[in-house]
Amino acid sequence: MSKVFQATCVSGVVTSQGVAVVGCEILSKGVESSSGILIQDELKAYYLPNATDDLKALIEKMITALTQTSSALTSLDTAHFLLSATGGVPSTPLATSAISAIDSVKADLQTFKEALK
Amino acid sequence: MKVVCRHGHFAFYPFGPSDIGRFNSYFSQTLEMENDYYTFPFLKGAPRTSLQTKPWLGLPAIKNYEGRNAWDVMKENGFVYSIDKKIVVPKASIFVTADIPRASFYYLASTALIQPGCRVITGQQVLSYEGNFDLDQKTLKIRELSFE
Repeated sequence: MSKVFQATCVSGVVTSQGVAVVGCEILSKGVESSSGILIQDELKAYYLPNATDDLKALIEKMITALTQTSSALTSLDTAHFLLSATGGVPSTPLATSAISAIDSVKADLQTFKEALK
Repeated sequence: MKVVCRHGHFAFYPFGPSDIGRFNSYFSQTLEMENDYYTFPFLKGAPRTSLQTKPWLGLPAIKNYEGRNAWDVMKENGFVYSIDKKIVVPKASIFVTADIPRASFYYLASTALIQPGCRVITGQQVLSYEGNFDLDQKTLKIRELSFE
């Protein structure tokens, strides 16, 4: 039967109930400061950070990257480059469906970010 | 009254409704109920977890430990309840000896309660025991003794 306590981790040092927890196994990289939970099970102690903020930040960066990608591709696809310098025939958009797919993924990520638990 | 000392923790199980009152009167104590037993007030609500250096009932714990019961934590940290001081102390700080001669079907303690952590004549350290405290004769008849 294990027991759970609130804890924080700073520079790889886990603190709970006012003391540094010696010999605690950190179940993450433990590089950045975090808050999470300490799980004690007999002689073992584990620290589990709350990674929701990290995940949210990651999703936001992915949405930004996809927005910029989609925008750049749309600009290129609708630039109507001349196919032939002498013929004067502008190009037609070729990547519309692919750009739509990127926008769809971006929308899914946006929804996922809002629904993070 | 049944007396169960587990790794320095005490649990008392009365046989009748007057046992607790008589025990309290004799020992000038006020046992308190916890779960299905009575115990000394200082031990009531003792946590079943400890963190190294964090005080556990006032004494810095030496181990991170999570157990099913408070006496598991006492075992891991080497703590015992001091009957005299009414606090938890390291078992290493107990230097008393106890004479516990064997009677017919039990050991007969020479004191009303045996201080956990005390040593018998062979040098073994008593940490746990179980027996009956006879409230009429004021004697502790021990059925089982466990050493370190």
